[in-house]
Amino acid sequence: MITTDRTDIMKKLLLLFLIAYLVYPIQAQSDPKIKRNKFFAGKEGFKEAWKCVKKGNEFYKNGKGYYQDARQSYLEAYNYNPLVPELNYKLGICYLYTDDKFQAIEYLRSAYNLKPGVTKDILFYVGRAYHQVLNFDSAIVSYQNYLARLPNKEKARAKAEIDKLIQECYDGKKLVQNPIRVIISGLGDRINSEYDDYGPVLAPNDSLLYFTSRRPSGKKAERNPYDNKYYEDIYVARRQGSGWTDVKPLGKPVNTRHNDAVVGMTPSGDALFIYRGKIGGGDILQAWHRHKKDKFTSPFQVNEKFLSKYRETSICLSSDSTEVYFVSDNPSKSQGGKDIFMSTTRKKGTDRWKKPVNLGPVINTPYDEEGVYITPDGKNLYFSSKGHNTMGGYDVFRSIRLDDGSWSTPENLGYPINTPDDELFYRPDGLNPKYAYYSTVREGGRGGKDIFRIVFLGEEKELVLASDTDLFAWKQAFPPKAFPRIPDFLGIDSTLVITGKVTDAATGKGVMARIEFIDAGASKTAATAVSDTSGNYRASLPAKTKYGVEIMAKDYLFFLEMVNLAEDTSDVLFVRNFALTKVEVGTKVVLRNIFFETGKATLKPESYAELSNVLKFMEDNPSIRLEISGHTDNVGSRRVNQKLSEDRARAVVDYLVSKGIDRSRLESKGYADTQPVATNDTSEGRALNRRVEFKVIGK
Amino acid sequence: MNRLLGCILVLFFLAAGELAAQTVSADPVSKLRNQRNYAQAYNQAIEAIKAGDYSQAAVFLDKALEYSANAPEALLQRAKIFLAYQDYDASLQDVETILKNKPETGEAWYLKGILWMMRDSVPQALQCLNEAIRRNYTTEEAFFYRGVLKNLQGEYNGAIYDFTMAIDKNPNHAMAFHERASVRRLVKDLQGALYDYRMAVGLDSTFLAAYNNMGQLKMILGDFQGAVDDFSRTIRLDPANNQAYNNRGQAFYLMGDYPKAVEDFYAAVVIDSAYAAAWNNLGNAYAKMEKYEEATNYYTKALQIDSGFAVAWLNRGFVNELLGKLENACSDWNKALSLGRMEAGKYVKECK
Repeated sequence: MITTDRTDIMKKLLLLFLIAYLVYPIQAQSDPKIKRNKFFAGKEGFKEAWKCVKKGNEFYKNGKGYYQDARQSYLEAYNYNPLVPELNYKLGICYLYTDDKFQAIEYLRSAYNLKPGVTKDILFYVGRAYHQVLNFDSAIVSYQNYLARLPNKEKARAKAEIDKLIQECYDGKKLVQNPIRVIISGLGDRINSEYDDYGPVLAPNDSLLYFTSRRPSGKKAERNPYDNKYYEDIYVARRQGSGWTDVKPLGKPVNTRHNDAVVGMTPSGDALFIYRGKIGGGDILQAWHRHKKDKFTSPFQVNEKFLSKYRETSICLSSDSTEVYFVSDNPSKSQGGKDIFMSTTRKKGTDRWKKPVNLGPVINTPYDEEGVYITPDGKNLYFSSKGHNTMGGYDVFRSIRLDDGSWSTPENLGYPINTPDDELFYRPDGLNPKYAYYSTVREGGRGGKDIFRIVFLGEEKELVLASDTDLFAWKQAFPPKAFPRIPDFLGIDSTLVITGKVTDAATGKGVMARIEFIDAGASKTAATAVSDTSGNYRASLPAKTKYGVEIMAKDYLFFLEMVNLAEDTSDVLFVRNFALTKVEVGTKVVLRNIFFETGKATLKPESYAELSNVLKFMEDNPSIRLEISGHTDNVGSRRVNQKLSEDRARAVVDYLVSKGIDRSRLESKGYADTQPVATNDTSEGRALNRRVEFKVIGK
Repeated sequence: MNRLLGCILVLFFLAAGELAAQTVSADPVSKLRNQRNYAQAYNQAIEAIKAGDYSQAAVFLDKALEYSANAPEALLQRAKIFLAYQDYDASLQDVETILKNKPETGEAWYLKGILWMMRDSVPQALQCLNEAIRRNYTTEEAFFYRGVLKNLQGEYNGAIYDFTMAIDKNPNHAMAFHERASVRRLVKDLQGALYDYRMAVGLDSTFLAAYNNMGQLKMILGDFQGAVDDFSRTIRLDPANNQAYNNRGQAFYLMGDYPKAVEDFYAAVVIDSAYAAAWNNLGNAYAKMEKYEEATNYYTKALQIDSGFAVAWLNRGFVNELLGKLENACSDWNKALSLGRMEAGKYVKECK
């Protein structure tokens, strides 16, 4: 039995009194009267609806344990007329205190909207309903409005509790804004039932799960009149893979007719700790496990140091059994409500324990603490508390044992592990710290409290998309085009070789001469060659075409002839021989390319090339004297032709003189048609007869 | 006197020319005739090349080379024909002959570089293209392929310069724009890259890779709708382009439109059931829709196709974690880590 000194007791009693005073007990829900006339007597279904109202009222007035039944009846009446504010209020209350509390807000808000003064506490419960569905801002407003509308006397009494609820909302907002990454899933239909299931206790190797359930354990199962639920019994389940199987109640002597709840286990797994409540108190018992029979002994009270006349509700031994942590509402050294106490053994391995001490204000609060658990390494203390920064009801907290043995400020395990409802009996998985178990009421549960497994996820991870990034496309252009552009054609070297001999026409001997090949088309010199003393020459011509060949040699008349290589079948090599006429007195040369304007003695410019040859010949042979003679055909009068031929001969002489030839070396004569070289009967003949000649008259 | 001197000079030069001709060939006419025949055969080859008849061109080039065995022009064209017929050894032989006799032939260096490229010998190929350009073979293709080689060597700025030169030579060089865009993307010049991709598709409206890459770039830039448009264009051009479906699916995914993403990823795997990336992405889309079991199945499908697909292992690990199957998740992350996904390391640490 835990003992305390008188002073402590007095202090604690005072504190409890203060809390009791400050916390206005807003527990009993109003019972507004649903008026019969709201149900439109006479309308079809009225009788049934009203009957349901009355039935619901019967359940409702019996308290929370009967709200589930009341709700059923009220819902039937609601179907008949959903616009009755009192009915909406009661339905809201029923929902708020049963499994589907998340639906309460719909009805309570309707009740308020239909009739803001439906009850004095409507805004309080609207706040509670908002609180439950995490609508903290609306909850705060509702709480504040509720408080503001209370008469001053009641306001003063209610303020502490409302402030606490508002603080829970602020804390809840923070926690919900920073959710932790967990998966919370029910342990399955074998463990969880439509009744309350809670208090998971794992055997040391995690092969067995003990838990408390308020499901009916048999046909003769009895309900606790206090809350209309079946009495607690302890169940055990065996792990099978990732699930649990073979769920069964422990039976006698552990389970009794009344409440039996499992609250812990020895580190070795040899004994269960069991809580048995009783009016005004409750104690922790211990039952040894007999391995041979696989049965538990009759439960017996744990060490008296852990017990009091008050209520001890949960207990946990350290892994080396040198420390014990337990929860008690013993006001001695209490911070208020249920607190966590701790004791150590006087000697390891014995059942001799020191006087328990309250873990102090760092852990314990003026509100209730519950469900204490120390991890096997002794470093982490998990417990549930209605104080600290709870977001409502019991939240689970963790405190770390610091190096000096003190405990760190408890840290709320966060949302969504904790909710505005009660989260209790948190137990980390002994084999994998990533898992933990606890009991709470969550949306999607089987009904009532359920046992859930928490999976702690690591940091948030971003899924990685996979794409085929062909960032470069050059392979589409590979191998490269062999011919990105068409190569240029080669210019074909069409050079011709012309060779031959320049000889004296009379003797056939070679003559050294200068030979010029003139491209007839382009009127420019294409090549120049010089024959050797034997008269041999060679020249390269660019194309197979028509050339004028001009040959100059000293003491020889200049030579001019057309050579048409295009008509030759040779491809590269052409042979052409040229015979030159030696200059002798009396030698005549027809100047074929001397042209005059028709009927006149005016030289045409195209005559100059031929005249320049004559000029050059005279320059090359400075002693030569020439007679320039003009000739006509026989067309026209002799007199006219005579004058024309003389004039034309004189024009040539004048040209040569103008180019620097001494006039004394030149004579001009006109022969009209007297010296024809061809017939005058044809135009071709007449063309040949129309000519200018020179004759060597001195050398 | 002058005339006499002129005649003497002419005679001297003619004699000298004759002497020089005699040094090369005893028969200048035969030489001339050979040259002419060579040129005619060569030009016939070019005509055949122009007509796309490479085999006929090769016959003419062989004939040309009978007249002039080491003529660089003919050897070069024949080397290109060998390249076209993928006879790289023969091509290289001709190129080496050219370079032995006439090492200043820039185009031969270029061709040699391409032949090294065909053999995946990037440094040698780059060296040859450097020589080609140094010897004034400064064509668009020389710069383009040197840009490609520089990029492969990680010389990104040099690659950008060369692609720019190729574009200068040919402003309609869509491929050069595309490649420059991709290198710019690598050096984080994202706006420059976007400009180049736009130019590439502007010049070649059927350039699938450019649309795809531009779409991917727009995703990086956060322009998901623009990316969807680009991938849609790709799909219109090539309705069986599974990559484009996969890419568009990703754009929808990043826009948060998971049902549309699923449609596209499905289309991608319908086109190619062995498309592991699309199966993986299908898993992602389902995971985003919190359909974790289905997601796991799709990742598993991807891994059945490619057991070395590290991303799928990683993602399946994420989803296994979300399913609360931490042991499976850790196993998957370990696998991803072993396959080189280093970020899996920190997740593996979380397992401990």
